[in-house]
Amino acid sequence: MERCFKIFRFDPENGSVPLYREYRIDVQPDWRILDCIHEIKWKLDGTLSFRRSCAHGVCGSDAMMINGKNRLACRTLVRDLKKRGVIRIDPLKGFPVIKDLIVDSDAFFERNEAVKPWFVNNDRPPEKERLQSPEERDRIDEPTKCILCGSCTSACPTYWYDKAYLGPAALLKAHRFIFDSRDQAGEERLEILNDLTGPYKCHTIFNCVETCPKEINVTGAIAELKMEILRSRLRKKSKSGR
Amino acid sequence: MAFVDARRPGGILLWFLQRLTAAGLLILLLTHFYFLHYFQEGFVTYRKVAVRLASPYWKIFDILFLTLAIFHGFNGFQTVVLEYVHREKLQRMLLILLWTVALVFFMIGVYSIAVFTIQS
Ligand code: SF4
Ligand code: FES
Repeated sequence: MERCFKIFRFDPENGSVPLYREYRIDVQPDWRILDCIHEIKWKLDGTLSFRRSCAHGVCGSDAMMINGKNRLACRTLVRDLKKRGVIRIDPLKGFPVIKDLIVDSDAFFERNEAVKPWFVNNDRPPEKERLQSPEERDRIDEPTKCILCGSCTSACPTYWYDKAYLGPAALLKAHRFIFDSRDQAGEERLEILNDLTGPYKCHTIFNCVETCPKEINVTGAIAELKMEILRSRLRKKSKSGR
Repeated sequence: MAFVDARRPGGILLWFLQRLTAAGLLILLLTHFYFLHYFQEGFVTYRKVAVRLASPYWKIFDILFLTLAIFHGFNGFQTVVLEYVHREKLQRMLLILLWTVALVFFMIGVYSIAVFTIQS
């Protein structure tokens, strides 16, 4: 079956202007969008640039906007999209474009690092692993699934107009460690989050939830962070009051 | 701009007060509606409203209402300015202007409630 792909092309280094180019190829309904753009790159136009690495929804590098929604090209089948008409592919919005579908994600990862996304525990390591009860593990089950694809932050209207915002992905990462029973730097992270750049910039628009390929309730996690900062404040107050 | 430059501590207080005033406003608003539209017989007339506003308890009620509403509204405005106005000087100027206007509104409001009496 022949389908038409309308793909965003832009190569600033060659002084070109951004435009859409159309490609017609034969595809099968069970092809992934990644297979389609491979087909285009390998057979029609070698200059088409995009990122991908694992091709199995694990690495998060091929997030792009497909028919108006941020998705992983390797996890979207042709038959998941509408049956007729062109399939339009754009780079992630809200990030500067380096070339074609490749965006500059430095700012994204800089925000992620700001919340100290690593495990902190200064106790002596036990003989074996640090144990966690199933309930404690459940608490962080959703955020641990995040593959940092950037779809959520790129879909966030607050992030579009206000770059002084950590963005949903970084906040979710903070959540993952703050609510980890084994981690000891929770308070420190909450202090970092209690900032005009933090979760209070989230106005519960839910675009992140709608777009997340791992179906994580990102907005819910951000709401929990808002409350947790409040609780941590109250904890500190009652301690110093005594 | 490196992200760290954008950092400005705080945020929770404004958010928390916004929630608190929202809850307060909801209660006050429902009380207000109840007394204005359901508690009394017949149409709302100037006379009825005036009698209520002349009582000291309702004056306290209305001043509380005014305080919460002004804070809640202008804090919302402040959020808009903080997020949409990116030039630092302009942002600061707008915030000063905003809270000055809020203060003026508040004073006019308190004044008109406080001195209200029924002329007959
Ligand atoms: S939360 Fe979802 S959309 Fe956001 S970076 Fe993680 S996997 Fe991607
Ligand atoms: S290529 Fe790794 S997630 Fe799609």
